[in-house]
Amino acid sequence: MIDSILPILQCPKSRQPLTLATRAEVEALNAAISAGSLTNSGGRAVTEPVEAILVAADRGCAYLVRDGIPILLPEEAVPAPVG
Amino acid sequence: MTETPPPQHQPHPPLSPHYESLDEKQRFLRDVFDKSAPFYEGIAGWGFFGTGGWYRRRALQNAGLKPGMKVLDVATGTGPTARAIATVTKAPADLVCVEPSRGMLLESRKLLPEATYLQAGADDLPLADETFDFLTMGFALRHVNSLDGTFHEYHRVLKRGGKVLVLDVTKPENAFGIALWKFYFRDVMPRVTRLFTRSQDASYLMSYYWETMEKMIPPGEVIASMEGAGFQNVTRNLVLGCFSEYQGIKS
Repeated sequence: MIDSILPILQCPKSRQPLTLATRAEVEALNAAISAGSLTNSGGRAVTEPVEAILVAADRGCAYLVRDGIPILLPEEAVPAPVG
Repeated sequence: MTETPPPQHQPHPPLSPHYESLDEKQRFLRDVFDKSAPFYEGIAGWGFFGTGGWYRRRALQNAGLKPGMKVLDVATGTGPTARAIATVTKAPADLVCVEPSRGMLLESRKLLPEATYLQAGADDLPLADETFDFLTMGFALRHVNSLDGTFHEYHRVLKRGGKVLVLDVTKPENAFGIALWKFYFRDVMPRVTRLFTRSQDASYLMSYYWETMEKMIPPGEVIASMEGAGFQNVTRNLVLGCFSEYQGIKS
């Protein structure tokens, strides 16, 4: 589903296009969530694992996907995975 | 980065004691909608908007919605407008639904699984320019931070020739209508919601709705905001004295 809509998605803050993070990047982020070390732009700790990550093309930030639904709220953005 | 216009036209001032600022408003709304989501479809079903699917389909068809159109439904809630859209376009897979409350999105997806769902707000649409033929918002204009910012976003994501249709409840223009409107939305809705759902959260949401309706800026300012965002041929069709259908075209 996300692949089909990806061409029309963009970062709500920067308007940058979004791309899917790699499986390794998703696993690394879920590890950070398990360790309690991930905080979103709104200053809240991220506590639930994700199934995918949408990364802004300039890697300025990233957005999480849970239950097949991209969470594209500026306050829910997280730092982009370090490539 | 696109400049976000300042919130010159807020739907209503911050409503104390619910929240004191626009940031708090969005957190408040997500929380109260998440808590009310399991009950919301029931409330709408027995007449919250007094309209149902028939009213929405009629409004959509009158505004020019046709099969084959690519549609964005903003603030989709539990999806009553989205389902009406799918009935008209006969292509639910071409429908994108945006809603900031996760609880509401999950409820909507149960009833219309073929559509695409995004957790996002009207003021910051995470969507590319000139993507949609038709954009709808059903009874949620009061929940955005800035009407100007929201309508600029609507104008941006519509294709040239695309149309926006915003449905809202507005204050009647005569004394009898105002009395009836107050009785229904201020006195009946919160109590009946409490009775049927036994949910304090859902009843609280209905009471909050009333406050937003009472404090909502006049329709003329909504029209001015749409025109300021670039929409042409902006009109307001009034049904039963309190259901406003705002339309505009991106030329």
